[in-house]
Amino acid sequence: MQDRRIILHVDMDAFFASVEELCDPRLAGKPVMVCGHPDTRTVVAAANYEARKYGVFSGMPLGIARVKCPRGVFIEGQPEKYVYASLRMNDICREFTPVMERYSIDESFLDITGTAKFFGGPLETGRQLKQRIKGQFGLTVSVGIGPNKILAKTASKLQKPDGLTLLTAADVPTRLHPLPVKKLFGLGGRTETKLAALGIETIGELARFPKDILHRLFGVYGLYLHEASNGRDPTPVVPEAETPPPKSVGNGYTLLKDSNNVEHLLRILLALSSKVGRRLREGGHRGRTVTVTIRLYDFTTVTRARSLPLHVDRDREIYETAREIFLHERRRQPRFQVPVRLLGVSVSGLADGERGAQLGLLDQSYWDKYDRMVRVADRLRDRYGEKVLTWAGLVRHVPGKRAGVHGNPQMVSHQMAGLSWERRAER
Amino acid sequence: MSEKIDVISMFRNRTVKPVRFKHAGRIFHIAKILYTWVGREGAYPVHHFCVLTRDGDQFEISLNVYTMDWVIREAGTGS
Repeated sequence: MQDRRIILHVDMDAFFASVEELCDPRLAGKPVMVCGHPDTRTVVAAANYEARKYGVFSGMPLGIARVKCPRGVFIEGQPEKYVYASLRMNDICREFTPVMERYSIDESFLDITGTAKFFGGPLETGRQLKQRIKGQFGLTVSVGIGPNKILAKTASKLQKPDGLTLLTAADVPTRLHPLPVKKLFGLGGRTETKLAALGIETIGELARFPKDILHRLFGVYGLYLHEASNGRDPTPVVPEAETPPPKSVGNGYTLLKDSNNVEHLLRILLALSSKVGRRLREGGHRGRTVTVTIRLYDFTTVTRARSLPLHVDRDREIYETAREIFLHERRRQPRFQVPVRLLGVSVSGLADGERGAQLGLLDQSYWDKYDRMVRVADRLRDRYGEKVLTWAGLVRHVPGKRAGVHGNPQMVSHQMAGLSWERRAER
Repeated sequence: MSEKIDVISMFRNRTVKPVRFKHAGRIFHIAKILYTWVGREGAYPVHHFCVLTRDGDQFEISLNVYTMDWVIREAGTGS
């Protein structure tokens, strides 16, 4: 039954960079890299095919990309631009089937089992989809078609850019098995290293490796590796409405410069906690476990979590827990009293739980006032944007206000438009 | 860069299309809309347009549908 499915994978070619080329035709033919602010420590979010010729790839630190491609054009990305195009492209995909799963901002799976016949078959469906997207946006996509998600995704990678490839179960020995294991969907760098130690370099070698040994070595994931390398995948295409709710909400931030200044680092934690709190409230979630990630200057990464007695969604409770975790770790382990490169805050254990009102020694009337203030602040942000209000602790000089991370939370309006909360915290 | 500008635009089929605008004392005729997207400022949609003028200059202009202000955000001269 599974083999009768027809799954189509749409992968936008060098998506962010292609959008930037549309916005500025002078970029055509030049190596283009989309990244965070080029003056910050950021990574390449997308590189066009010209830039890839220089060995630049997504996720590469900007400093290395500049060395590899000194004449490249580095553009600060504008997520709104790409999200808009991505959503509109998904609208086009839904014209071909209602069973569409948005896998990432630039990839989607479509189950066209029941609809392909209306468009002249699987390949013709892929061709028409490509034409619609090209006609509407001027962007090219690579389409892979297969009996399951693994083969469809592998197919779209076989011919890029602007490809249209069909992989059937019969093609597995000739077209999937010769590929290196890193090309297998769901297989990361660490697994690749472990498999290399076992002498497994191609997907075919993995497919022939005894299943029980893979199970013993990798657990349930080993079973997945065996099935996937044989081109089998029962995973359904899950439309957005059926997507399970998130398990956690978190944000991280790489500092402009490594810092060992505790006040400064606490401001970053406050900015991150505020962002997480806002996202929790927007999604109607509350969580019980606050996790702090600290990456030191030498890339040593420490993750510490604390569970709370009740579920929380308030910035202050998240921040105070994150602050306690952070200060506790620095006191407990002198080796952590070194410059920090990255901080992250996340809240997990999400559920519709009772709100935590007893954190600290503050009475209920305080929290009632606090909640009223946050409700108003959230409504103002809903209406006028995220930049309209922020915590006083994130603004260095507020006339007549005490601006510190230890003071009472006070919200102030500010004129720091264009800066993210973390960037404001760094000022 | 974020400066209010005067724009002559065409509203048709529930879409808006800028035709020409005045910036720094000059009139720019839009030859081609290169890319458009809709973002938000709070609850209000902002329509962005990357445009190419007849003189070969490129600009990004945007319309906030709440304030109904047109703003020029980015300018680049043609090569």
